[in-house]
Amino acid sequence: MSERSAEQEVVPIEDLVAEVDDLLRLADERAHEARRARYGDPTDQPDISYRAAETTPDITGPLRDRLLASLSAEVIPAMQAEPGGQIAEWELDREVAKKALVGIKISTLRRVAAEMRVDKRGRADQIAERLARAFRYDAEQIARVVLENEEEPTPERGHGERIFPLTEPVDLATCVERLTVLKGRFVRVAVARWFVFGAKPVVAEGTLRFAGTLHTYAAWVTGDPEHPTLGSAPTEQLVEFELTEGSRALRVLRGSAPAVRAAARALAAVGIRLLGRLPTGRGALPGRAATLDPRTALMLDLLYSRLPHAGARKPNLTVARFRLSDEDGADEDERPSLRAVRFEGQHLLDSVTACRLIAREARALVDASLLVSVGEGDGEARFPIRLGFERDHTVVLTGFGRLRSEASAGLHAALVEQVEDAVESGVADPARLETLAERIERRAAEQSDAEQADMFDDEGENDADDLLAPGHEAQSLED
Amino acid sequence: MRIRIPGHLTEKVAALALKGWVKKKDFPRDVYFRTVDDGLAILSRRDDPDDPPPLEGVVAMLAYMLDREGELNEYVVAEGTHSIGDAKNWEDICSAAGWVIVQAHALAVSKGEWP
Repeated sequence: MSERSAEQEVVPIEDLVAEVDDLLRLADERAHEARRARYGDPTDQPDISYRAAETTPDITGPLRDRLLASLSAEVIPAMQAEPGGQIAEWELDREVAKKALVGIKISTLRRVAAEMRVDKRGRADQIAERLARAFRYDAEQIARVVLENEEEPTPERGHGERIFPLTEPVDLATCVERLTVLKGRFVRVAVARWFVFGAKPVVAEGTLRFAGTLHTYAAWVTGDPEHPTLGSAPTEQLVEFELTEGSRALRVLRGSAPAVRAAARALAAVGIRLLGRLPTGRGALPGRAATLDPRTALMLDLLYSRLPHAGARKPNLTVARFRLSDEDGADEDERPSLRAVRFEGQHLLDSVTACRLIAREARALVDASLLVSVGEGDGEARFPIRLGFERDHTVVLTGFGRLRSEASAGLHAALVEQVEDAVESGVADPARLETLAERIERRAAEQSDAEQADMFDDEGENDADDLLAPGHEAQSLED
Repeated sequence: MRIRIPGHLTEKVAALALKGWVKKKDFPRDVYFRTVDDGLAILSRRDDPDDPPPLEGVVAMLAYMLDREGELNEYVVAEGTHSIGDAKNWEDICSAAGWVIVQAHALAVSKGEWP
């Protein structure tokens, strides 16, 4: 057997297999020794292992695999690649399972390991290995563990929308008329960039959906120096939009923010004009709330007053991003600068540090990820959500959580409605925002974090519903 | 060092009273404990004090040893309320017993009763 070393050694898999054979031989010898210890003279007893082999299933294969996995965790095995240089499928499946688990925050991984009564010590990859083995590398079970323990939703595992404010309310009839003409046509939106309108738009219940593809071409010089020419290569991005009659918001169901901005000229041809900014100007909020950054005021109003109306309770803020500078940093600058800070944890709004950023430094809280509950009793489900304020639009993401996607779809639709109303109408409940602002101010003055999270106590479930209904005349922050 | 038996095996430990089986006077404790020692020594390749011991591999070794020894099979059949079942079930039974042995080994070491 190899000597022990601090670093992981690279060992051909054949050597590890030989070591496993040695271990099994040792275990077999000890089994015989154990029988002698029980019964003394082995000739007095029938060959029990032979009899046992007749009545018990053969588990040598799985045990051999487990020993190989244990040895492989201690070294770096070098294995023969499949034809074409591919990774062996069994190795790939196992590592993909571990990779998915390793993506979970390590504190959460340790908690899951403790719940599964699996050793929670060591590095993330070691814990992931044990968990994956406990689940027998079952892809569905492991996928559910990942979904159940997401603290931040991602577009791949949830519902997501970007919401761009518009200059004017949507006139669906005009949009449909223009889209019918533009169907299948391309519009140049920038140098070597075109937007191709897709198939006929879909209209249902006062809502219009349409899609298109943004084609972007890179260009370069190619060919030999005597006869140079130009080459190009395209990239394509699918973008899908949704509009509601009378709304001042464009919902982007699919597509990146840069793609949407690039397609702005094409959208103008349909009668849709992006505002180009978030309407969060400073307005006449009372007391402490007036000292908050307008984006923070809007975000806190969303978290404290609007979430309950969307059916989301028991908020636990797990990620918070504060914008410290509004410079976009597009050009490299020699000056050191800090543009944003990101906090991760639990119940972050209860932390003294976060409260000081909000209350004393008036920093902009522009991105918040939370875990929220929907439903009650046996029907209660927990979902990760993310609300973000970008320069010219908002982001709403709702994770699938542990249930199927349909269960989180309802929450997502309600959140989008609240966010749209917040951007259009401003703070829904200035009085509640003032209460929260005062709590944050008090927490900012404390020396240490609270033992219990209580910032969101009194989540507004007893408030009059009509204060929070979309379209309610709320105090606008528009200049 | 506190050893926790994985959650998916605790039911088998309880249902088959494996802790009591391992504690029996005729259980060849020394042979199994020596195997735990040898397994830990062989399977630990890195001299890193922060590295947790390779208990999963040791349990796999013990499970094989228990399967080959045959007494666990006799015990389960004689106990009467549970069956050997399919390969997965039998592997779990042997693994559960293996964890019980590892747990007993750790306790004995902590009390100075082993080696």
